[in-house]
Amino acid sequence: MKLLLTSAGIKNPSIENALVQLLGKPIADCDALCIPTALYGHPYAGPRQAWKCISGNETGTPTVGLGWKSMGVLELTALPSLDEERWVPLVKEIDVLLVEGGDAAYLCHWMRESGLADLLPSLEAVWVGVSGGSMVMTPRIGDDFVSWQSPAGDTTLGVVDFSIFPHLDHPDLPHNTMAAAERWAADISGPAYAIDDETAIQVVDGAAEVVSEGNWKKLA
Amino acid sequence: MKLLLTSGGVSNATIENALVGLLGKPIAESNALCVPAAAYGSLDPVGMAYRFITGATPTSRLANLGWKSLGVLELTALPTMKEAIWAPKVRETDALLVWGGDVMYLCYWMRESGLADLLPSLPDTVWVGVSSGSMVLTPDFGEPYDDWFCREPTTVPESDLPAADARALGLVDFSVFPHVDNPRAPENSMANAERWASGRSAPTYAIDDATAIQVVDGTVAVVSEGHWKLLTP
Repeated sequence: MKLLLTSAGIKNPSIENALVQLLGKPIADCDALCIPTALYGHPYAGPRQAWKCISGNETGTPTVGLGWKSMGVLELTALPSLDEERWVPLVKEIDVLLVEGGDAAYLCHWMRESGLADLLPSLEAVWVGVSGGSMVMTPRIGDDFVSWQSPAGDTTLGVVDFSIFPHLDHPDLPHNTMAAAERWAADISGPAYAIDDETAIQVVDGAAEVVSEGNWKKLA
Repeated sequence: MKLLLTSGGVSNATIENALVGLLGKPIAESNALCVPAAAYGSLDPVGMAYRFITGATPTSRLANLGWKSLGVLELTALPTMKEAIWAPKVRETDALLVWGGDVMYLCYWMRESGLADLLPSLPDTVWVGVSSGSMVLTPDFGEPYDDWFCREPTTVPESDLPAADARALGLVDFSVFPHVDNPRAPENSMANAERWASGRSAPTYAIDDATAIQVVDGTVAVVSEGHWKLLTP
């Protein structure tokens, strides 16, 4: 699986070019599914935000509205009560999964419960994460980012070996400063990136590469 | 709760007028939440939910009526969300838009999510059902019908579930047989409706896609530009 781990979606031409390279064909030729689940776990997100994301009306974090060939909703909380044959073959053929942000711990819980986490190694799809949808692929998100309490604490899927501090220096998030990111990274005790909304990290065959028109820093 | 139980959505001006009457204000001034859960029990879970939520349903209008705001009320997510987060959103909304698909699946999640328990405390909210989204409020939707009408949630052992009719929500005292004489659903003939109704304990409204049933304070009125029939067992 190829990953494009963004802070705020496909925000600029550099990130969009990286996405098209990972897809290996134009966006208009790709079938996509969006995963809104993380939105339901976050106190600031919820029903309205889910509608904006699914309908492509959330221009702050462009994903669904990019002009995909086809689109569907893969709602992880519903999958355990569905026949696998209704969704597993579809996911195996899909070109891209658009994973909306929200609460990464909630998303992680449902990635495991739904069985999608187990499927990831066998998928051809590009994983495009937004915020919590990127953080869920890391080994740890840090206690600062946990709002939904689960037995797993701040431990996430660990598909990549670095952690992500998103929305660096975002004007609406005064706590997301570089100083806060450095304190957070010290607690994580592993490799980490602090990235702003104009930055993404692409991962192909285990090799991470930063794609950015903004600010970012690799934190030890 | 005020009910507008449709077969094929807000498919004509008569049904739309009824909806505006129930809301007590224009649709453009009303907030709505979409409930896609029944679609997940259908043969096309990801596509049907997406088309409903985004209003890409030209022949079955509902989310695309020009609401002031829309949200997604995901019943399968509610048990793992704090009630303090989702219940106020339900109390504040003017309308719940409940799509069709699989009525058994929807009924299971109506109870499991806690939304079924909340309904009696929502006197002014308008429930707009489409197909299974209408049937789920009836006392009796029968046993699985041609493997199409309804289906059990697959991961719940059969033995753990009460009989279908014991699980039905029963907010109204009649059954609904939707999509009568829809050309794409030949099994939904009026003759089949009569057969199906004969096995129900309550009277059945067999309605086509141009018909809806409105219920306010227990008073039932049929709103139609098409055809329908009240069938008694």
